[in-house]
Amino acid sequence: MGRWRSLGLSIGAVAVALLVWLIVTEGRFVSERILPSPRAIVQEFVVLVNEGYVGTPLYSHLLASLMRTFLGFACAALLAVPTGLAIGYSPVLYAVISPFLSVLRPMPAIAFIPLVILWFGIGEFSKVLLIFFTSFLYITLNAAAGVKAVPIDLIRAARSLGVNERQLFFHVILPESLPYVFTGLKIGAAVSWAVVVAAELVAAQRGLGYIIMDGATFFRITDVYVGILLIGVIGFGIERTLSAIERRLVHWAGR
Amino acid sequence: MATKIEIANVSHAYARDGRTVEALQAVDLAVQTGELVSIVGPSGCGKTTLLFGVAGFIRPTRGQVLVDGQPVVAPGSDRGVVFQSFALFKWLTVQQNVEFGPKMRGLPPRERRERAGQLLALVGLSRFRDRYPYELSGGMQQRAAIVRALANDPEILLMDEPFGSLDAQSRDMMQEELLKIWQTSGKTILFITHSVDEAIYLSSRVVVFTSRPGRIKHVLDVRLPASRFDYHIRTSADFIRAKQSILDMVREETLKQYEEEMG
Repeated sequence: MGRWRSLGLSIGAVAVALLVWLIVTEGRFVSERILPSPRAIVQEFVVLVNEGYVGTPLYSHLLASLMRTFLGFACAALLAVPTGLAIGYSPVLYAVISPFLSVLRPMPAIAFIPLVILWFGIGEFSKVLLIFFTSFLYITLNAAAGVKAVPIDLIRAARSLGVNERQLFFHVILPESLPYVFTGLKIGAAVSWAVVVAAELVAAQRGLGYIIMDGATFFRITDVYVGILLIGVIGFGIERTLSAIERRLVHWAGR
Repeated sequence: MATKIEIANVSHAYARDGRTVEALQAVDLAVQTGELVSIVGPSGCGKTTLLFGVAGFIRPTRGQVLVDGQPVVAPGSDRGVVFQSFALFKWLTVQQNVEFGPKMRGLPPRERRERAGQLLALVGLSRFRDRYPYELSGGMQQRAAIVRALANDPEILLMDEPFGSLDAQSRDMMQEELLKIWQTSGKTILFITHSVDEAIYLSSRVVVFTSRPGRIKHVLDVRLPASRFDYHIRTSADFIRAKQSILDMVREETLKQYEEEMG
């Protein structure tokens, strides 16, 4: 299927979904308590932009969520990439560390929210720690997998060309692993964004998760929907941005 | 002529699925300086294992490999290696790939750029110097890989089925290209191939391996004119005769291997 045809179909499908949504809500087939109409959501969004949510400007909520995500994710990336590369490179480190990572990976981060609150309270640190922990796992595991996937021919070719151990790592293993590292960063960022909202649902005075939780508590259903949609749009934006960087930085990946 | 590579009583065994696989058995072979020697034999007969022993990728379990009289203990830039998989660095341009060895060994930028430029011109890749490997055809990628191996000016070139994944036409061209390089550079070349035609066309001697464990079944001196750029040589009577006798030997070994595999 051609690119334009595919794009056209996608736009068409979204338009149909919106239309159904409009008919169902504006025609009063569904209570606005359950599903507000797109029109109401857009109106409420404009109100939120102009007046903020319960006295706090909307951008301030957005920024709160974004900063937590960024802080946790950036710290994780800085630590996890070297850790993952080291684990992939050293069989000893791999044997020692990988069992912990393998057990931790299937555990959802939200399962740790009560524990983290118990240990560190409901402050910023707890939320950032959760994000850190989640993305750290994914980035580490992917970086390690990247090193392990370096073809042996490539290492042998480099050795025959006269590299020493340090050069082998920095000029061959590291660049060859980069596509994997990037996959890890993308998954890490996506999961971080999901976790920050979950953490804010439990305990926060600001953030998109807070808007959703507070909105539901006080039956401001339209605000709940605005919060959910904003999460989706921003998550989509994060994914797209990282993909664009990826295409530039590791242009050879998959070719 | 001096012996460049001496393979002395080399045997190699490795463990796979808990069983010991004997890959090579008591192989003796001396390659003279400036010779191009091919090794043919059924798949899995250990010819690549032998080449990797010379490259220093593996240590034979018995016997030893000598280069200029010195035992091989590790890979080194005195022995350039060309792989069937090309093994180019995908994140580097063609030029950067060729400069890789000299750069790692500390050659100044001007020298290595000049050297890479000459080599790329030699194989007709000058126009593609700033392309990435994935932008090139298989034949061009393999030419880049060959000159990358030559950039360190190694005295020995070890080639592991380098043209195996190319189409027939590119393959013929690459063979002529290699002959040209060999005759102008005077390198000692050890060449592994599946193709009997290729072995005869390129080599001064063709070594026929038995099925596993690989032993030398026969060494054939190829007596073709030194200058082989006339491709009609490939259909000359001498060529056909040599091909017939090697094909017979390879076939015999392949059948033996089949019988063994079928139980």
